[in-house]
Formats: sequence, structure tokens, C-alpha cells
Amino acid sequence: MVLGSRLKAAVLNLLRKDRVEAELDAEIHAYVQGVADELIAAGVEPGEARRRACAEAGCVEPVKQAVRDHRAGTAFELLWRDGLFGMRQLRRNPALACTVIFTLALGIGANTTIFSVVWRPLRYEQANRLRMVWETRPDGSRSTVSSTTYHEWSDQNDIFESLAAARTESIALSGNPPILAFGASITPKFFDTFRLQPELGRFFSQDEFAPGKGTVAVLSYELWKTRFAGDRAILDKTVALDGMPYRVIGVAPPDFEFLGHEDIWLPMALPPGESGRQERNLLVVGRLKPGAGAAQAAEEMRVLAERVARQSPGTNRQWSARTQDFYEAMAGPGVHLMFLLLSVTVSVVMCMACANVANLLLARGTTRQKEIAIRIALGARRWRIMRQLLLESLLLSVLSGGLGLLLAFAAVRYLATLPVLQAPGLAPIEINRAVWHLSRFSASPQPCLPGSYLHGRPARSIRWNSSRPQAAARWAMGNMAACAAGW
Amino acid sequence: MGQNQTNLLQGTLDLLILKAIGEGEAHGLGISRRIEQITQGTFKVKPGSLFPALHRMEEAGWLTSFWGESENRRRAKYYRRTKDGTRQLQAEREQWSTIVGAMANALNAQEV
Repeated sequence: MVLGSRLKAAVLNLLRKDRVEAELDAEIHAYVQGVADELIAAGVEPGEARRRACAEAGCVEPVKQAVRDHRAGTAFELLWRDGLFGMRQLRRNPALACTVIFTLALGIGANTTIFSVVWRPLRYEQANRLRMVWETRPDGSRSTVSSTTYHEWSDQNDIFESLAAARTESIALSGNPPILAFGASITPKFFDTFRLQPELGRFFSQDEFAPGKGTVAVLSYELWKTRFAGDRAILDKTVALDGMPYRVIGVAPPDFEFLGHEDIWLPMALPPGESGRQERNLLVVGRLKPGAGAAQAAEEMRVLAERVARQSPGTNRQWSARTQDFYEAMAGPGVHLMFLLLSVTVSVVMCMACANVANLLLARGTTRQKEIAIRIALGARRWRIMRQLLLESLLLSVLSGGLGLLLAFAAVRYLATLPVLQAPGLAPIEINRAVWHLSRFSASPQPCLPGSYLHGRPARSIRWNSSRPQAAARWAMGNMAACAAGW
Repeated sequence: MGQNQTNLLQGTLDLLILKAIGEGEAHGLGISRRIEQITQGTFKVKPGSLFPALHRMEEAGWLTSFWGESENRRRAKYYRRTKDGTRQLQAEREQWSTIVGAMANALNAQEV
């Protein structure tokens, strides 16, 4: 109630400032006049009466100031005026303002871009439990897996919740026009391993992997949308694949790919026996059981592979197995280290930008000592001066943050079109963790803080001058440390 | 100002102003004189405290103001209590009684 009333009063005060001021003046004068009238009525001579009335009232101006200090909206008005003054300060020194804004904007833009591109998550549920499994040749190089070996691993391992395999197939899709689709034949737990739900219909059931039953297909979302116009009636329709009729039973969720832009998934027929050891053409991916670690998985698979090697020395002598981080498998080898290096690099760039800006502001601060000393001498409170300087810092940081984000948006939009940065399974490139970056952006006035603090100390700002270079250097160091910490 | 002028207890000014205005209407000087009168000269409210309080209370919606003509045929700004102001007076009066009662009890208590 009171709050709403005061808010309304604040708005009215700000909008009708002249009238409010005139009324205040008239009201106080009426008071003084009233006191004088009383004195005259009591027999005091008019000139003396006015003098005494004024003395009693404490004179008009201080009273008006006291009213203004308590008036609703005063704080906001002062802030607004400080802000305008800050803007004028920036405009008066455009070279400095531009340097600061561009330095910070580049830093913020580079960081936002790199962090958005680099630390993209995998889009699967609990993707950190996914691992690729490879066979390794006698020379230690990695190889895709034979289907017999895969089945033995799948049956005997105790570390993976599910182990799935896929093999690429080229499939001619009849129709108008006929196309050569990129397909994959997959093992029963394939979609489960990624924890995927079909967009439409269902995935394969166990009996569809039996020989002769596998004439069913799952379409990719993209193929369904482009080739079949997203028609929901596609389910149970028959499509001709390599001239054979296949029944469509489901559509995979959007953007799902494992081998790279698959159009169609087909069930892989069950193990071909010992003959299947020669043909190593399966990509194997597993989901670790909860609590199982990467090292444990590597050890278990090595032991399993040794057992297979002993049982089938003809094909598997000295062959072993190795597991690999799924993210690295999708995004490329050494990707984690590269990402880390990139992140550290842009972070250092940001730190340097902050240090430079802090020093620029510090240098400007010394040229403003006189102005601040005068304001303090005229009675400005320490808080007012600090607020002024903080507001100027905030203006700079908001401007540079905004520009930085614009730069980042442009850069990310460009990078999102680069094929080299795409990898199956990774979330699309976009500015993510917006909140996190906003916090960085709001943290950016921090490098300017020590400077403000310095000038908030009246004694120092009067005594301090450029003949004290050691002190200036010490403050600059402090600034850099603070900006590194703040950042 | 007299030496024996008691400092206005913190928080009593609003209560005094609301009470001094009463059911009618009063301008700044009138309120000041009325407070002096009803406290038998104990409290003299100077304009430096009175006007900020009046404006603050008006902004809070406890008072409304209008321009009128004083007894000396001069233009003056008059204040009147709103319904909220009357409610506020009641609330502050109760709070004040509580304080007075509590202080009396405390001061009359047996010292150990």
C-alpha cells in the first residue's frame, strides 16, 4: 500500500519536477511569512520580524534540501544524473572509451564463442557412461570389431549395461527418384544403449533379429521429413530397399546419428559363427553399468579379448581390445586436450584484456584526481564518489558486454556452418550456458573496482599525485591480481 | 530554542503530526504550533524536520494536501488525514501504548 503510493509519488515527482519545486518554495515561504506575521502581531518591527522568522525556520534553502533528500524518487534521480554524467565522461574521452569497450568486447566475445563451441555436451542421456570398444591389432593400432567377437564380448562382459554394434550399409531406396541411402545394420540393444525413444512407432523387437524376420526398417527423422513429407501414415507401409520389401516400423528422433548421417537402420542378423572373425567391420559402443569406471572397463575388455585370442589363435593371436571415450570418438582424437588448451588460451586473453582495461582506467583515474578532490572539498560524500566511479565502470562493462555478446552471436552463427566442427552426437553449436556468461558479463566491472576504491579515499585522492610512481605500480599490480581473481 | 527542548523521540514525529492535524485540516505552521500546544511546549518541531515528514507522509498516502488561504489571507498549503492516515495513527498509537506500558513496567520493577 505505502510502497505503491510512494512509487506513484516518485513517478509524479520526476515528471512534474518544476511544479513540485515551485510548490515547495511557496510552502516554505508561506511558513516563514506566517512566523513573521505572528511576530508583527506581537508588536515586533517588520524587518526584525522577518529576520527572526528566518532564523527560526533555519532559512528556506536548507529546509527545501531536507525535503528533497526525503522525497520519493530522489535516489533514482541522482543515479540517473550520475549515469548521464558518466556518459558525458565517456564521450569526452572517446579514444579511451572505445579502447576499453573493444578490448573487453573482444575478450568477452572470444570467450563466449570458444566456450560455446568447445564444451558442447553429447545429446544422449548420461553420455559420460558411453564408451567405444575397439579390437587392437598385434601392432597396437585399433580396428573395428568382428561380429563373432562382438557377440562373445556382449555375452561375457560384466561391465557394460548394454553393448551394441553397427555396420554401414549402402541401400538403394526405390521410388521417384531412387536414391542410394546411407544405412546401418544394428544389434538388438543399439537404441537402448543411447537411451533413445522413437519419434514415431517403435524400434526393433528381439525376434526381428532372427534369420528371415529382419525385413523391417527404422527411418531417420530427416529421411522421414524429406522423402516422406513427415507423413505419420508411413508406419506399416512397405518401402523397397535393394529391391526387397521392408516394412517401416518406426522413426528415430531428430538429429540422431552414430556412423554419420544414417538414413535407415535395419536389424543385423544373428552371429555367423567362427567364420565371422575375419570380417572386422563393426563399430561397437557400450553403456557402462552405474559406478563402473573407464579403467575398469579397459581392463575387463583386455581380459576378455585375451580369452578370445586363446580360443581362436588362428584369427585373434596377439589381438586385444581397447575402450575409448565416446566424446573423443565422436569429436576426434585429442579433442579434450585441444579444448582445454583453447579454453585456457581465451581465458588468458580475457585476463589480459581485464588487466589492460584496469590499467587504462587507473591511468585515467589519476587525471581525475583533481575533479574528485574538488568534489570532496565541496562536501560530496565518499559513497557518492564511489557510486559515480562504479557507475562509469558499469556503463563500460554493460556496453562492452553487449558488444561482446553480439560478436559472439555472429561468430557462433558462422562457426555453426563449418562442417569441420560438426560431429555426430554432439549438441548443435549455439550460444549455450547463457546464464553462466551473463554472470561473467556482470562480473566484468570488477577489474574497475580497485580503481574506484582508490579514488573513494578522500585523503589519498588529495595527497596522491603522479610523483608517486611506486605506489601507482603497486596499485596496478593489485588491480591485475583483483581482475584475475574477479574474472 | 530553549535548553529544555526535549529531542523528539525517534518515530514519534509521525504520530504527533497525525494527531495534530486531527479530523480537520492544517498548514505547516499550524501543525507546528498545534504540536507545541498539545505537548505543552515540550516539543517544538522545526521546519527542517516538519516539512520532510509532511512530504514523506503525503507520498506514503497518509495525508493529502491542497492550497488554501490562511487566517492572514495568505496562500498556504493545507494537509488533511486520509483514511490510511487515520489507520496509521491508530496503529502507531497502539504501538506507543505498548512501549509506554513496557517502559513503565521495566522502570517500576524491583531492583535486585
